[in-house]
Amino acid sequence: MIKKPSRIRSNKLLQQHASPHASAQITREPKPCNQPLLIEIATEELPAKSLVALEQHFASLLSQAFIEKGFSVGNITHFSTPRRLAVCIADFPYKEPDVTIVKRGPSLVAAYDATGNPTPAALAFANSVNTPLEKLSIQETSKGKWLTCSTDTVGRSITVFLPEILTQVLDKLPMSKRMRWGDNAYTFLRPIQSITLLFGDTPIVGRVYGLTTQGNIRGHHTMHPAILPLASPMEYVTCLEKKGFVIAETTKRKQMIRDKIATVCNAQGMEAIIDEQLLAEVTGLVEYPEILVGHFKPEFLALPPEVLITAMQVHQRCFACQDKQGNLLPYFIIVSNLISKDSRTVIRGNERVMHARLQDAVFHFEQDKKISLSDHNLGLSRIVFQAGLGSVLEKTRRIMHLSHQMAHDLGMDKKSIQIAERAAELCKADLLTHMVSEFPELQGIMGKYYAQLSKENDAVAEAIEAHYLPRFAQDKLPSTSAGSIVSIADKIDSLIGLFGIGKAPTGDKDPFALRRQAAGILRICIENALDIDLRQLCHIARDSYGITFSDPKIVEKVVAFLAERLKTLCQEKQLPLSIFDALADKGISRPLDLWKRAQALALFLNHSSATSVIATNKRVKNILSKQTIPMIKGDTLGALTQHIDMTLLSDPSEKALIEALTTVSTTIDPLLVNANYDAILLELVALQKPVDDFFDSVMILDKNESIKMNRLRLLQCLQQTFNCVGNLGVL
Amino acid sequence: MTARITKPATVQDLIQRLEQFWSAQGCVILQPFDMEIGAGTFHPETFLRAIGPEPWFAAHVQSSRRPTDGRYGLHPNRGQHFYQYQVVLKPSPSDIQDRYLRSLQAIGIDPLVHDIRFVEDNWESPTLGASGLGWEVWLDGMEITQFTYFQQVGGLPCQPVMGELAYGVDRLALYLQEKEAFTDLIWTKGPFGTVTYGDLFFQNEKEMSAYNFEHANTDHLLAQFDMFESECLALSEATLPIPAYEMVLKASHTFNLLDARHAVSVSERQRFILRVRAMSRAVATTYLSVREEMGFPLLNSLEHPLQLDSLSPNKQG
Repeated sequence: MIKKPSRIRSNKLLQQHASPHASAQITREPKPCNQPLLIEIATEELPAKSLVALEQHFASLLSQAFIEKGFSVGNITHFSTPRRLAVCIADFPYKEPDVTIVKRGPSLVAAYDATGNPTPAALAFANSVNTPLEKLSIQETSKGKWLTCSTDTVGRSITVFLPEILTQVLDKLPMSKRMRWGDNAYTFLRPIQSITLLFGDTPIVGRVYGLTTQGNIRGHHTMHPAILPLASPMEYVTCLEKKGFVIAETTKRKQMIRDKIATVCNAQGMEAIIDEQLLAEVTGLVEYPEILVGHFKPEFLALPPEVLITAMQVHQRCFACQDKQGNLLPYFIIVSNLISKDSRTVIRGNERVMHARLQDAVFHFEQDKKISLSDHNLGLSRIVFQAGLGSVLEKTRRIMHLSHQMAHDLGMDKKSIQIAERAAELCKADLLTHMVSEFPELQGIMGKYYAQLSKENDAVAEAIEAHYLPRFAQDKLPSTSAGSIVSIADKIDSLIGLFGIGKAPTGDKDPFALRRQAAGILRICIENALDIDLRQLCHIARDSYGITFSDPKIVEKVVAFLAERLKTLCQEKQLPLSIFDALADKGISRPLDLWKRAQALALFLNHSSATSVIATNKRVKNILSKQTIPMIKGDTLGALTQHIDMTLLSDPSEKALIEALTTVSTTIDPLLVNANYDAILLELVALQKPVDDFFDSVMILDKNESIKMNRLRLLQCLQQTFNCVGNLGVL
Repeated sequence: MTARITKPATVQDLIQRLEQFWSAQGCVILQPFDMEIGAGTFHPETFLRAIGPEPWFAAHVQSSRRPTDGRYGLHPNRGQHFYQYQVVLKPSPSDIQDRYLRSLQAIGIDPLVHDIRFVEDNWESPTLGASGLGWEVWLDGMEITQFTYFQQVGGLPCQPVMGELAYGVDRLALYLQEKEAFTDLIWTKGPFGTVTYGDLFFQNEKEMSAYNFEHANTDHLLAQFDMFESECLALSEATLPIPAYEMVLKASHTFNLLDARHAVSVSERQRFILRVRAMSRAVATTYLSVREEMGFPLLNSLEHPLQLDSLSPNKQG
């Protein structure tokens, strides 16, 4: 590391302007009583999206730190704007509590000898606490008298401990990316300009993050950059609002924006499309919201609404407007950060930018429309999907093949199969359109429009858009079977390919979002009720690549990866993990089936007889686990009972059991075919009493080997029946 | 607030006002770098000066080239060649934002009339192994400046931190002159008549777009890239960081041309970027050791601005 000379000379090169904290500070001790406290961190513009979390963490970390100090500070009100983080506490102590620390030394008996002279033990203790012997005190307890040393520590003044606590809290404050600035070693989300500590009417002067804390605040960056005199922390909010052009409360600022937008829109007989995420973001972009309305040429409304909305919301952070019927109007809402001396100028500026963006969009749209979507597809051979995995065109061919197989296996009719296949063929075609290169977030959506314009079937167009779903954890799923199929095909193809070239996620690194894609596949199978065998699909996907992957186990690895995701999905749905273990040997291959089983087991766990059924099953399992006999086999549960030699049954309980088992298994068999797992588990309840009676009345391990074997087979039969939904033994 | 200042009527005037302003702030007014570069950040007086402990304050206009952005001169506000006004201040002064706002006033943009917003923007240049945090500055909804605190350059952490302001000259001029297309911008207006940006650059845009997209010989470019790369590494080895850095710039521009010709696939693209980054890192490390050997001369010859908030904290080892 380089050490720079510590010499710092006064600046001649740069003309230095008076810095906000350059004014002389008078250090004075605050009045010795509880008073209101203001802490404000003035910064350069903080990232809007992090602001709310930052404000909350700041308040809660401070509160936590105060509690650790033994203060009761009551309610902390907190504030944030793009340029400040602040808290106000109505009743704050002027010093730390005084504490008396008592250290116990030797007992009095051990401290003095018979002649009354101190023993070495007493002297050593006095030495260790650095106090002359005669100044030590004596403490009497039920167990005797002890030599003690008590030290009174007077709590430190707020001027000492507050800067210390604040520094610790700023160090701990979680933030996405800390940065350095200037020539200091401190880091924060954006550079800190000044730190205000006002206690009652007294500024607390200390050092925090290399700055001298002081008692002043400043208003809006351009509308009131000068110091705002603040008589008390309690005036913080009103002073900022009335004099400083700053609305410090986030919720209030948000509500103001909402209300002002509503007022402006009502006046024009329209309504704004309030995207909550955007509203939160613009709340974090302004200290003093002013609402302005911009206008664009109505011709632009010929663009797809998603394009207009993306341009307005994502690119310009403006709100789109619509009429009562939900048709977009050629207006947009600007949330500005200023009461402009000439708001027409601000509006005109915004309109110019919007016009340029929309003009661009029209240009791209017109260019794209000149050729059909299927012709756009041809260029996909130029785009590499992944090194070693061929082009995107090759990927779409694999997606087509997988989609065809899936649609066929799901028993879809010929027309539906064709729709899925065509959607697969065109699903990536829009990647090469001008519009998608300009607005990448519109991939799929533009595909839909261009498909419609190219006279493709509507279902094909819908599926093209839907195949990117779900894009994030709680996103919607494709609503049609073609959309679902193409979506799964695309994702399985990516999983197999990327696992095949060793790009599986590791630790927290998942650059290709394969976890999200796996979860997407599972959600579609489960929530859209598509009974797809994923292992089989993975095999087809691997074979479709037409290359030999060096790892022969990729299918099993992908299946295991999907199983892991399914487990996470179960956890998210609050299913007990034991259920997942109970299904371990059923394999993950068909997520819909597995999910149905899991749901049934979860429901069954709440059943009044569940505990005893599970206990009974465990008993069966324990007995069988000590025996080494081949497991009986049968195509159905009913068929299993044929392994039992009825002539060897002697005890009535034995006969009753086989009767009950026969009845139950013949009832269950058709339920299994229909995957009616709820009903199956309820049927099992009927077995519990006969089994208990059986255990009570007979010795399983009979001396007669044939009887013993027959009884064990009966138990095997029982066990397989019990576990036909899931392994009850591990619940 | 200062008295209202008129808007510069020409691009020439706009550049001069910025020069004057930053000159008065104490910056070294440099001239544009004489090689093809994609942005002011690539200027050695930014890239190399960001490395190590020496202070640095400079400003200059920089012609910048992004071959893929060419539109044959037909797009109203996008071209393969454009101008940036680049300002670097190291260490970044604590009132850097206010200085910036005053620079806007100097070009007739009154912050009490215009809605000026600092919108989060985290910058990263994979080829330069550089990253920074800051904002894009919005003027009534239009991005006019990239404002960045460098955190890392050539893979090395920046300490002290250089603050960089990159003004989009063409965009600002479009706004100030209220023109829709860059070709209509008035570059200068004098006794000999009016010269527009179009007079100066339309033909350039058209021909350079044709070169970038159609005529650039990709075989030659690929060979050149390899050559620049080996030169760069050899020069770094020979502790000649400045010529080595020029090779980085040549390689970087060659790569951009290849990109415009669609001569690199997605995966190859990543590999090319990594190769340029490896060069940048080699140069940065060499430059630092050379400056260190020289005793970081600017530490002694340049005054360090005294900043109340720049006193090193005790915890700094």
